[in-house]
Amino acid sequence: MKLSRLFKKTLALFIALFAAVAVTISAFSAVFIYDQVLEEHKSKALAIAKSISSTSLDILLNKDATTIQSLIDQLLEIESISYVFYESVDREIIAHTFVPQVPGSVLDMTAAGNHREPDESGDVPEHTFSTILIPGQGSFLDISAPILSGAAGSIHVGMDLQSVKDLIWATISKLLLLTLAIFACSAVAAYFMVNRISRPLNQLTGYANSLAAHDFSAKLEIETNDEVGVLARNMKTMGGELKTMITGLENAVENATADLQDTLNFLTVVVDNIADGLLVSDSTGNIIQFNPQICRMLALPVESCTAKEIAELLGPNFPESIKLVMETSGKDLSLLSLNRNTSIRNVDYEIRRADGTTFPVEISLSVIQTHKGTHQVAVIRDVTRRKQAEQEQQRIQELLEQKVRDRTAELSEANLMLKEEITGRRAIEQALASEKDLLTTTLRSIGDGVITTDINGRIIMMNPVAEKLTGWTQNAARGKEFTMAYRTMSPVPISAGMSRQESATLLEKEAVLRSLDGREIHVAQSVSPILDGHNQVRGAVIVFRDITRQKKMEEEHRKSEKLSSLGLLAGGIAHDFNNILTAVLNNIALARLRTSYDETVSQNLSKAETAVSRAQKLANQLLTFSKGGAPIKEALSLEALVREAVDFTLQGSNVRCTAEIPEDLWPIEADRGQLVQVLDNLVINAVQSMPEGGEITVRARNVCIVEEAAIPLPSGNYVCIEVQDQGSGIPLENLDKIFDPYYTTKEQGSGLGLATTYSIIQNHHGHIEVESKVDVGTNFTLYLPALDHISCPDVPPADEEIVQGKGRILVMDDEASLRDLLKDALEFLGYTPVFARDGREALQLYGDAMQNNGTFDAVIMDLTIPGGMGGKEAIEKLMKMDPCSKVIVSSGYSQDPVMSRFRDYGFKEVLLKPYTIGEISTKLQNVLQG
Amino acid sequence: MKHVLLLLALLLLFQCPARAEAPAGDEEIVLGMSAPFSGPSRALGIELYRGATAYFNHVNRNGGINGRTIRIQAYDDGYNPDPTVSNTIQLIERDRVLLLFQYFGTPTVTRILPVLKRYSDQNFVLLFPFSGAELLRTPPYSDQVFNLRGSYGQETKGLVDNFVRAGRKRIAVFYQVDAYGRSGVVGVRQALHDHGLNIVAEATYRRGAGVSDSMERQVEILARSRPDAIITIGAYAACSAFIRDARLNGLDSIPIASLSFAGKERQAELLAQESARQNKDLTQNLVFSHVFPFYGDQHLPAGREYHTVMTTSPVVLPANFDLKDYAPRQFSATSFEGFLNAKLLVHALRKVPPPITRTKVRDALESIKRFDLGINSNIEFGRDDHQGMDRIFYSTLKHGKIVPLNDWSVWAR
Repeated sequence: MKLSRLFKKTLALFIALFAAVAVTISAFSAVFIYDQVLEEHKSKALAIAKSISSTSLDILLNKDATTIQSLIDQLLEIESISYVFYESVDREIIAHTFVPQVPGSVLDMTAAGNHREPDESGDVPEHTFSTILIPGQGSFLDISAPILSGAAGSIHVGMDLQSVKDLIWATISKLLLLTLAIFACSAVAAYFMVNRISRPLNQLTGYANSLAAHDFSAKLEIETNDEVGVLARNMKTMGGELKTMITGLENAVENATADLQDTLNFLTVVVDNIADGLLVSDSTGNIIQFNPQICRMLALPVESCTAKEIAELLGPNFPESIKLVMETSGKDLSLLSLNRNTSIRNVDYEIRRADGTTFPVEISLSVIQTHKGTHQVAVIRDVTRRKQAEQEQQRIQELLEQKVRDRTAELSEANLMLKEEITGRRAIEQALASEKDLLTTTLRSIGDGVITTDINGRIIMMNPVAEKLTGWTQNAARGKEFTMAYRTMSPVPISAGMSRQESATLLEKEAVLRSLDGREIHVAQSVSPILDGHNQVRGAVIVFRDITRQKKMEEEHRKSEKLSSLGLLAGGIAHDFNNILTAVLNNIALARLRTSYDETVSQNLSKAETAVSRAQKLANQLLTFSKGGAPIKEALSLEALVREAVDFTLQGSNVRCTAEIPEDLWPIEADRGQLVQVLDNLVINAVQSMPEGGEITVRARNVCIVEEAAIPLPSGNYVCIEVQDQGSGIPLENLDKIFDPYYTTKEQGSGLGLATTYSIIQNHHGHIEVESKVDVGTNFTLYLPALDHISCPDVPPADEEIVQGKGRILVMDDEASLRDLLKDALEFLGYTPVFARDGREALQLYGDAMQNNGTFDAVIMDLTIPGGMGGKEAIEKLMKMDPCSKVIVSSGYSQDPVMSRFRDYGFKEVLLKPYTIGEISTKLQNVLQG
Repeated sequence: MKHVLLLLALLLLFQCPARAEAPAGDEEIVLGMSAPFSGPSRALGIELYRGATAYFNHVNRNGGINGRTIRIQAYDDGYNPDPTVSNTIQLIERDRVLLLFQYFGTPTVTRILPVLKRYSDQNFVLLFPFSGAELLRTPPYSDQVFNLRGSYGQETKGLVDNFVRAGRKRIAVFYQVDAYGRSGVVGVRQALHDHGLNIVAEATYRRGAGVSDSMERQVEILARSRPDAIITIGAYAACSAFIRDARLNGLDSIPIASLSFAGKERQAELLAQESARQNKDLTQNLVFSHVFPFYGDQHLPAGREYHTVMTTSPVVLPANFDLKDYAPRQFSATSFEGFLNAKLLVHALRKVPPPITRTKVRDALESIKRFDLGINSNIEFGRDDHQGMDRIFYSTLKHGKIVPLNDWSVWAR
C-alpha cells in the first residue's frame, strides 16, 4: 500500500521527535542517577564511618585488634561496601578486610597521610573523600572518618565505584531498552494507523475522480465509523444522488417533450370542440387562429375568417373596456402600466351575424406576451340561453321568499308558548326541591331512627340515628335487605299488601333490636307504607326509638314502688319498736349504774343489753330500709371511710382486700353510719361468697354521668365505688331478686342486708348495680352524687363517753315513760331536768324562766307530738324568744326531713331514738360547749 | 532473614526484664550450645558435641548428678555471628538453660559477649568456648567466661618460639580476615616482637572458603617475601587449600603450622584427598599446635577413658544437624576436647550442693585447684583466673598419621 505523502512526513517527524526525547531523557537520567547514587553511597559510607567512630570509641581506643576486626567484619555485609579498615594514629593498619592482602595503593594512601593534615583554616577536616585505584579490583571511593578528630586514628570505608557505574549503566540500559521498545511499538502502531487512515483516503480520492468523470459505476468500500467512514458514506450518497439527478433530468426532458406534444394535440382538439368561439390575433389585430365554433356562431365560412381582423369580424361597437385592451396590443406594454398578460373577462356584448341577426355574447379578451410577440385571444360565448334561464330563476326566487316570510311568523308564535310552559315547570321543581331539603333535614334532626325501603324491603335511606342504633352506615346498608340492618326478634313484614291501618299508631310496638356490634337495644317501632299518587304501596318507612333507658327507669320505678309499700309497713312497726327499745335499753343502763355490781345481775343485764342491741339493730335496719332512716348527711371524704369500713369488716377473715382509691376522689355528702352499713353489707356478702378465702377489690373513681348514659341517674358528677369479689357468683335468675327484702340464700341471713343497702343508696339519690357470673365473681357498683367544691373535714365520731355536766335542761316529750327515763338519766349526768308534755308547755316554761333570769342551758324536744305542738313548730317560736337557745331535736323518724336538715330549722343537734345515756351526754356536751 | 532474626534477638534482649536466678529444672540439667552443625566447619561443631554428649550420657547412665541427668540443647549457627546471637538469646529466654557450654569460634563467641553482659544479673556464664581469642580471657568479659583450652596467643607464641628457636625467623602469616584471624595475627606479631622480629608477609582469605577455592594469590604474596615458616590462622578447609597451593607453587619445603582451631584430623583427611588428586604428597612439613594432648595417647588416663566412653556411649545426633554426607569420626581431637570439657563440668557439678544454681556452679568452678583431668596437667581456676590450662601441644603428620611432635630440629637452620 502506498502511504500518503502527508503521512510519510508526519511519521518521519514523529520518529525524529521520539528519538530526541529518548536521547534527552537517557542522558539526563544517566547524569541524574550517577549523581544520586554516588551521593547516596557517599552519605551511606559516611554515616557508617561516623557511627563506628562515635559509638565504638572505647574499643578503638583500646586498640584491641580482635574486637575492632569483629566490628568492621559486620560492615562488609552491607551492600556495596568493599572494604573497611582501621588506621591507628601512627598510620598503622590495625584491622582490615582486604583479601588477599592490603593493596599497595591503600598503603600508599595511608603512608601519605595527607588527608589528615589540617586544612587552611587550621582545623582537621571531619571526613575526606578520595578515589583510589586498586589494581585488579577497580576504583573505590574511600571515605575516611577521623576518630577523636584524628587523635585515635581513623576508620576507612571503601565503596565500590565500579558497582555504582554498573548500576548506572544497568539502569540506563534498561531505560533505553524500554524507550526503544516503546518506540518500536509506537512506530509499528503508527505505521498501521497511518496505513489504515491513508488507504481509505486514497480510495476516496479515486472515487471522487471517477465521479468527476461521470463514472457512477466506481465502487467505494469503506465501512468504518470514523470521520473518513462518514465522509465515504456521504460521498457515496452524494454520488448516488448525482446519478439519480442526472438520469432524472434526462428522463424529464424526454417526458416534457412528449407531454408538450400531447398537450398540443389535446389543446387543438379542445379548442376545436369547445362551445365557445375562439379567436387569436397578432399584435396588429390580424386573426391568426380560430376554432370552427366561431365560424358557426357567426355563420361564416371558414375561409372568410382567416384574413380578417378581430374588429372587422365582430363589428365596431365594442364596449370601451374591450376597445382599450385591443388598442394596447402592439404597443409596449410596459409603458402602459399594464401586466404582461392583460385580460378582461365576460364582457357582455351583442354581435351581429352576417345575416344581420344579433345575439348576446360574453367576450373575454386576453393579451398574451410571448417571445413571438403580443397576441390577443378572444373567447366569445353565446349566452342567449343563459339569459333566458336567469329571467326564469328570478321569478321563482321571489315566489319562495314570500313563502318563507309566512312560515316564520307561525314559528314565533309557537316559541312563545313553549317558553311560558318551561317557566311554570321550573317553579314547580324548585318547590319540590326545597320540600325535599326540608324533609331530609327533618329526618336527620329527629331523635328517632328512620329507615325507608322500597317495595321489596331493600333499604333506600337511613338517618343518622338509625345508623347509630343499627350500627350500619347508610352507604353500607343501601340496597341491602331491610332485615339485615334492622334485626329484631319479630321482623316487620313489608309487602305490597300493607295498608295504612297497619301502622296507624306511631311507635306503638316494642322490639329488641340487635345492632351490628351485638348490643341489644329496646326500641319502640312503627312501620308505615309509602304510597304513591294512585294509593299504591311504593315502599315502607320504619321509625324506631331507643327506649332502653326508659325501660330501665320504669324497672327502677317499679322496684322503688314495691319497696316503699313494704317500707311503710315496716317503718311503722320499727318506730314504735324503737321507742320501746329505747326505754328498755335505758332502763337496763340505769339498772346497771345503780346496782352494786352483783356479778349475776350484771351478766343478766349484759345479755339483756346484747339482745336489745340486736333488736335495735334490726329495728334500725327495718327503719332504714323503709326509708325511715333518712340519711343525716355530712360532707365526707370516701377514702378513709372506705378503708376503715372494709378493714374492719375483714378483720379475722381469710379474705384480702385491694383498695384502689385515687387521691383526687371527689367528696360526697352522705350519712357516715349508713354508708358504713352499705359497705359492711357488700363486704360481708363478698366474704361469705368466698368461704375458701380470696381477694376483694374495692375501687373508687369519679364519673360524669350524661343524659344518654344507661345508668338511671340524672346527669352530673358522681363517685363510683365498686366492690368486686372472686366468689361463687349469683345465678342470673336470682339477680333481680337480691335487693328484695327478706330474700336470702343464706341460712342465717335476715334478707335485709342488700334491701337496706339499696334503700340507703336510693335515699342518697344514688344508684346501685350488680353484675355477676357464676363461679367467677360478683361486682357491685355504687354511684353517689359528688359534692361540688367542698373539702370535707373528715373527723371520725368520737367514742361515746359519759361525761357529766351541769345546767338546767328542758325536756319536751309526750311519752311519760321516756320523761321518767330522761329524768333519771339527766340527773345521773349531773343536770337539772325540767319536763314539758308538748310544745306549748315547753314555750311557757322557757318564757317563765327567761323572765326570772333563769334560762335553760339546753332544750331537748321531740319532733312530733300527737295532737299537740311538736318540736318543728315549737322551735320557730322558741328561736323568736331566744335566738341563742340550744335545742336538740329527738325523734324516732329519722327519715323526716327535719332530722336530716335540722340546722335549717334552728336545732343544734339531733338525738335519734332509741338513744343511750352516752349519746345524751355527748350531744348535750356538744351543744353546751359549742 | 538473617537480619530479621537478629532484630528479633535484639528486641528480646532489650525487652525482657531482668529475671532473678532460678534453680534449673528438676529432672534435667540443660546446657546451651551454639556451634556450626552445617556448612564448611560443621565437622568441628558436631565432634565437639559428640565428645561432650558421650561423656554426659556416660554420667547419666551411672546415676547423673544426684539423680539429675545432663543434656546439651544445641543450635546450629553455621559459624556465623548473627545466628549465634539469636541462638544465645533463645537458649537463655526460651530454653532457660543452666549455662552456656562450649560455644564455637572466635567471630561468633566475641559477638555474644555483650549478650552475656546483658544477662549478668542472672549469673549466666559461658563455659569452655572453642576459641582461643584473647577477648575471652581479658576484662571486661573474662569474668563471665571460663576457658579450659589455651589461648591463640599461647598457641602462636609457642609456634613462633619454636620456629625462632629452630632458626626460622622470617615468618609469614596466612589468616582468615576476621576476628579469629586478627586475634592470631596479633598473637604472632606479639610473639615475634618479643624476639625483635616482625611478620614478613600477610595474606588473607574470606571466612567460608572451601578446599576447592584457589589460594594461589595468597601463596604468591607470601612467596615473594621468601618466608622460613608460615603460620596459618584459619579453618581446616581454607588451610588445606592454602597448604595444597603452597606446595604446588614452590613453597614445598618450609614448615606450615596450623592452630588447634583448624582441626588437624579433618585437615589431615582433606590433604590426603588432595594429595591423591594432585598426585603429590602434600602432608609433609606440617605442624599442628593444639591445646590438649593427643587423644590417642593411651598412656594418659583421660585418653583411655575417652576411648572407653566413645566406644560405649553412642551419641544420637539431633535432627537439626546437617548430617548429609557426613561420617562421624569415632575419635578426634575435637571430640576429645568436648569430652574433657564435659568431664571438668561434671567434676564441678558434683561439688555443688543441691539445688544447683548458676552461682553455685560458678563458685564450684572457681574453687577447682590443681585438678588433673587425666592429661597429666593441672587445671586451676580462681576468682580472677578463668583460664584452666596453659600448656600447648604440637603434632605433625607422618605417613598420613597424626603423631606428637617433640623434635623441631628437623626444621633447624
